[in-house]
Amino acid sequence: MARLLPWLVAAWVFILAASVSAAEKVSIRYLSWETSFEQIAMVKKLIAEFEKRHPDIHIALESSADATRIFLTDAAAGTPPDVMYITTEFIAPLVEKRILEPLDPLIERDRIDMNMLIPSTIEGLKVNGGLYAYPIHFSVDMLYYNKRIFDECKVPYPDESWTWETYRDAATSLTLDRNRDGRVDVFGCMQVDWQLIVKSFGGRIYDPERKRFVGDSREVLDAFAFNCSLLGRQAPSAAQAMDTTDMQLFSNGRVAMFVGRTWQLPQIAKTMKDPWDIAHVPKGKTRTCILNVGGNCIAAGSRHKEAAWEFVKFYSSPEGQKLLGVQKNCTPALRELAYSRDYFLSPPPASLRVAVDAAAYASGRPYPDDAWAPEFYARVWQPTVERFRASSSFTPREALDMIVREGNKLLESYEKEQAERGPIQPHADTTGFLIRLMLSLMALGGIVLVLAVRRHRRAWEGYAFIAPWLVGFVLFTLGPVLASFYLSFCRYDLLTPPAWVGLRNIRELANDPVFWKSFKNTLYYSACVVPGTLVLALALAILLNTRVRGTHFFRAVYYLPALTAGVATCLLWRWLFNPQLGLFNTVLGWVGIQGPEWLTSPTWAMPAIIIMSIWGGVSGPMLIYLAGLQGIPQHLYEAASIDGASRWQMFRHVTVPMLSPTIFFNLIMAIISSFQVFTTVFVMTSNTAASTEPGGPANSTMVYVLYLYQTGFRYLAMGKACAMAWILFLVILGLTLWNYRMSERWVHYDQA
Amino acid sequence: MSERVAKVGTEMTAEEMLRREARSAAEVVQRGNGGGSPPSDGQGPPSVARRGWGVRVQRWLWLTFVYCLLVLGGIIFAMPFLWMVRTALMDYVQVQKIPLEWIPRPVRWNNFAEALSFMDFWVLLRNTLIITILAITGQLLSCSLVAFGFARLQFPGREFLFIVLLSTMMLPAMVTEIPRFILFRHFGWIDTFLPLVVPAFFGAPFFIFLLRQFFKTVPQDLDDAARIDGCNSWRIWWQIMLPLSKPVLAVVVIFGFIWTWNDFWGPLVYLRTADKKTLSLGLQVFQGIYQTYYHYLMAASLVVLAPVLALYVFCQRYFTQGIVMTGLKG
Repeated sequence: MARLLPWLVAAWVFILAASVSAAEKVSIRYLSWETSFEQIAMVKKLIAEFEKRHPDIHIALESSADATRIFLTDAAAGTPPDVMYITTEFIAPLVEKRILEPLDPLIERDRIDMNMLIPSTIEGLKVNGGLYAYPIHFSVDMLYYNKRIFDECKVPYPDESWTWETYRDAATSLTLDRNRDGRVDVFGCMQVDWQLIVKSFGGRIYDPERKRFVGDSREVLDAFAFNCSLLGRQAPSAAQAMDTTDMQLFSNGRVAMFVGRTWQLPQIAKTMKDPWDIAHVPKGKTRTCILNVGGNCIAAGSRHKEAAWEFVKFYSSPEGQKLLGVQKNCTPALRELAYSRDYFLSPPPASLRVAVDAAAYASGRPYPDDAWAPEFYARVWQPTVERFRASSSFTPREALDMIVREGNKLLESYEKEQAERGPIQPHADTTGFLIRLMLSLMALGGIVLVLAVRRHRRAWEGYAFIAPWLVGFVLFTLGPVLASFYLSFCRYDLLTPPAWVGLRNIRELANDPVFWKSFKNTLYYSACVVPGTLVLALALAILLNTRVRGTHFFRAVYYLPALTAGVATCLLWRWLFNPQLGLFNTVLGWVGIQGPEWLTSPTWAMPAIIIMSIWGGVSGPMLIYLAGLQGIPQHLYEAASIDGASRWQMFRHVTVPMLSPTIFFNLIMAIISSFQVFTTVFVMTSNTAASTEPGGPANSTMVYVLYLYQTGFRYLAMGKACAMAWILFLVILGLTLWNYRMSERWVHYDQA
Repeated sequence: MSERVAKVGTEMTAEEMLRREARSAAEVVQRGNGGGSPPSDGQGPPSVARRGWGVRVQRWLWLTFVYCLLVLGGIIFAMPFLWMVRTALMDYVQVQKIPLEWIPRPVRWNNFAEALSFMDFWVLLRNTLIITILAITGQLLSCSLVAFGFARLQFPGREFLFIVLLSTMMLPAMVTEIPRFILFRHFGWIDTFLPLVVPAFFGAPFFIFLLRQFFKTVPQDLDDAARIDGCNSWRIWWQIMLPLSKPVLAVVVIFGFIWTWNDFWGPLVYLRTADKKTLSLGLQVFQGIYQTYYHYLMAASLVVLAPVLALYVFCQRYFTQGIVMTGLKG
């Protein structure tokens, strides 16, 4: 014990050191969305300058591509970042949950002249008339075009007169098959962003009076049809593009023009070899494009609002912006910077003014950026329009009906929730009942214990030894299990006390197509991974069991995947499945097969994950089989061979029965773990070229636990998430019991 | 459960003896005949040795076939890591070249330093180490205590509680995650290491099970002798059981290390500020929305995996021992 003591002391000192934040300075957290080296380095420069000017303030920089989710959960947890970057798309839900600080009072108090900013940028960050984030920059849609290809095909450059028809006609002339091999080398254009094309055609999908989606607009169907008509002719299909992004195709000279956004400018400027330029987007019924404004917001729960406001002001000031360098990926919201030839308006490209002037006609999406908007986009819009790419028989009418139907369902459930929910009290104690539950359980347990000990005096020792587990069990397992059972019948979002709603969560889940999809996906996954892993593991175990020298070495190699299971390996496999640069498609290319797009294709994403899971999951069962094989008595084989059995018959009648307990064990373990797959899918399908949300293109890899995580931690529907967890438990329990029943027929425990 | 353990245990010893006898018999025959005997592969019997070249050729063919399969398997399992090394040593431009190249030219050892500095490696390493060491310590202490209680001490409800322990292993983690999050939030532990470390001091069912099975195989006589000498249970645990269990404890340390080192969910949910994050979260940094810096990502991943691999190389036999001990009991 004496030897251990210094260790423990050192460890505790470590913890304290780690958890204690810097004393006297005010420390604020800034959550940025930047994930590229250069940008983060720039932000750090800005922070350094700010800290020089304000020595009593320290800024802790964090950056994540998943920032809004982090902000939401942190706010719910009571520890929000003080300042965060936010855009038009994501601001309304946060305002609605009352976790953003309104900036108008601060602007008025400090008498800031808002005329310094381009007007539409201010509108872009207003919610219900109030400004909740301070604009920094904005982005619009623009038409990028490759001058060399235009010259080659003798097509005049795009100008203000272009309509979408002109776009398509020009694209037809610009589609080339240079070497006449039947395969198109240069495509005229790319498909247009679906929301943009709907807006430009004048399509109406949302009725602001009734606050519902409507499907009666002819223009929407025309817009969809237009975009679909480009596919495979002027614009490459998914297979033809080999899932390279628009930007990459343009830079490689494989597409003559495309409608992109401001943020693509720097990358294209860096990689584009041919002369190029930008132009205003073609006209539809009117000239319009989608405006996205980025700015900094302050958390309502921040403890250092003044310091946060100083930082926000400095960030958006001319000095601050200049420290960030000329960021061509967005147009500055400050007029003086946007129009400055030394700053933003320096070529390339020549017509950069388009990026500034477009602010005049840019506005929001075809539906309002309300609190439900991001969820609508992620769960209804995006999966629906992705289906156009996946299946050529999907018609515009079907798409529109689906959008209207699912969208209205979403709106209805959202309104119902609004109506039922009590007032938001961000700091209320919503969990007192949980603590009381567990304390009462422990008291109960204590009483039982005392009674038991009184009967058996010596028993107290045993209880003392198992006390750590017993206490931990009640505190961290039993209590939470019961609480989670209770919460399954409540509506709970961490910001308001749990409200009993009976079976509503279950009913909503039953009506939720994504829930069923996640269930199906998990079954598909399990049905492939479990047999695959077990059969392969058995084969490998038999292989390793041969009496050849060196099996020890190979056993070590074969165990590598189990060791390295985790994020690093998932990222490695993500890289392996890259459609152009990954190992898989390279090897397939050696045998002449054109590899699919794997993680960005709705049909191939799940197989990719299955392959990876089998590779990673074989090692464990393999070793268990190996141990089992080595436990099979030799005399059984001798007896069988005396009876004249062949190798295969010996396998079937000696090996398998003797191994059956091991097979059974592996089977149960494999089923239980395959139903709970999370990390692999999360890491492999977040932030891909197809979608930023994990769950794969069109929810094809949305497995059960992933959807549970999203429901609970992203949409903050904790009650529903608990219901999902219990359903999972019951399903696994049922499967295990069923297997146990079945096992009595084929598992032989009598090992003699 | 314990009864079946004992039964299989004794049977195995008997089978071991039988097998050894059969093997030595075959060897005697083999030496007598001077020819090769067909190898036994755990599936076929050591058949009677036959003379001649035909048999030798057969054995060579068999060996070649087996080795081919082994090497093929080895390639499939090791290839991703070779690919990782290859990417980690390449220039970003070379990584993106089509058609693909295998040899890095030039070999960029710098990648490692740059990647590590970008992801704030030392901070993440410190955090991951703190969490891992604390968690392992907690698990060692608590699991051995509890396992000793279940294995050696009598108290009412012992079997019942053990079954409860086992059934918690079957509980999907998700069922308790959300209330645990709420609980830790109530304690104010969000954004600290505590939610990741404190539960380890209350035992982990898997390790308790493992240790209990092992303790059961230690003869009761040692305990009885110690008690006669006047030891109480604590001293028996500390001075007799633990020293004897070094191999199993090593297994607990190794598996605990791997699981905590690679843990993703826990840090994802409970750690917020950048200077508290762990290595597995840190790797996400290289994935941009617009592009992923694969060479840095692979270099950093290699570094994150290195301790686990090093541990494996040094402690190989403990791994297989550990797996065998948990799995065989069926």
